[in-house]
Amino acid sequence: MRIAFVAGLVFWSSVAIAGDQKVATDACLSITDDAKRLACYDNALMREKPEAPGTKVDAIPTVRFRVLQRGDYDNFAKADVTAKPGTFDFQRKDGQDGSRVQLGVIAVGSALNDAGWQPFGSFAWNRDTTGDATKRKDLRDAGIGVTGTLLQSDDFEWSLHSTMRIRHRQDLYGAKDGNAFGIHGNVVKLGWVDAKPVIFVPYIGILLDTRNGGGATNGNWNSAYVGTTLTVPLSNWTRGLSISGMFERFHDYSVPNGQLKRSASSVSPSVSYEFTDPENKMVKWRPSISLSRQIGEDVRAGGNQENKTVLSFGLKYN
Amino acid sequence: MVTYVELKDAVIGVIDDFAKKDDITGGYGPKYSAKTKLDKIGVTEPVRAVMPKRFNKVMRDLVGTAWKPVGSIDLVPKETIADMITIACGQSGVLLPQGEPT
Repeated sequence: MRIAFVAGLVFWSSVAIAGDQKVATDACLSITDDAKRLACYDNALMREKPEAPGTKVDAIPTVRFRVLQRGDYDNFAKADVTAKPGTFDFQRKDGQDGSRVQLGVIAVGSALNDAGWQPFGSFAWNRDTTGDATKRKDLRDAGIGVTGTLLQSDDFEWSLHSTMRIRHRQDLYGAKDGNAFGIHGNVVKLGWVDAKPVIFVPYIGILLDTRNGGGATNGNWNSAYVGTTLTVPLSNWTRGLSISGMFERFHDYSVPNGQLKRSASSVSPSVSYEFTDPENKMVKWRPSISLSRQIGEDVRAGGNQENKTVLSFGLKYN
Repeated sequence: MVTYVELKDAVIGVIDDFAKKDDITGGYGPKYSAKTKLDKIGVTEPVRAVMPKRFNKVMRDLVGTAWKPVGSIDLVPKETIADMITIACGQSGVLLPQGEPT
């Protein structure tokens, strides 16, 4: 009895729905426009609107190239330095020509696994012949590396983003030729890097350098460093403007042949401005200007003791 | 086969995981959209650098073997929620419907 009642209820419900649909579809007959009439039928018969054909988006290429100031991703998580373009400038002082080049060309491969580890190869040229003859430098580095998140808390609040890299160096004016292995780690805490109002990233690293440029400096130079970067984005005030600064402390804990251990600090605050709108993706060539103060010795960049202010013009290709 | 809507919701969910001071999932539509700048919601370059592990896991669970993983170097340059949705479409093979992402 109960089954018969339920079956009857389902039957009459179906008849009622079919009746409603018929009334609705009859109403559609009066529409003369073909597309509107079809839409009316779809709506009356409760058909889902067919999904519009979409566009296929190309996957990330297996290998691609970038041109930056440095040929590595050691400072990957630094918002400002990451974006710094390669620079060239020329000077004439006391009748002598000099030039500065900071240029890195990086080949980036697609991610190796779901952990997001990503390989890269690089060539970097760091030249400065603007000072006196004893301070001239011309370093040429080639390297390969891999970058990714080494550690991450379950709530994502804390992460250690790291880069491991092997580097081959040629030193045209000095004896820093050789091969090195480095591990760099950026400590990323979400509360420190949300740009409200700053981006603060502390970092640590070790560098194991085997030199073969000749003389007493040949051998193993084992070093460690700590540092911080601080960026104040001012894009809300003026697009393309940012203030940034970095501090780094470098120390050798093992050197060959009784060499003097390097123990140096470097500080470099800077203000930079992009002439093109950073939000306009159609712009490929992006000229920029930056004013920076460099104090101390940036050992990792192969620099000398500095205390100078530098005005640079840059050009970046996206 | 995963739909575009499912993919988009998953991307917004991952962004929400890292935007600690903003409710992106709850506010998507009235407050946030595809045009929302990632920097504005606290998902800055360092944050994007550490997102791939979570991003790949969520997408792998959703898309399966078709998903091609991304790395830090891929995500750091992304500027808007739309950029993140678009890269997810590219890596998964899901078509981007006309007018999307919104």
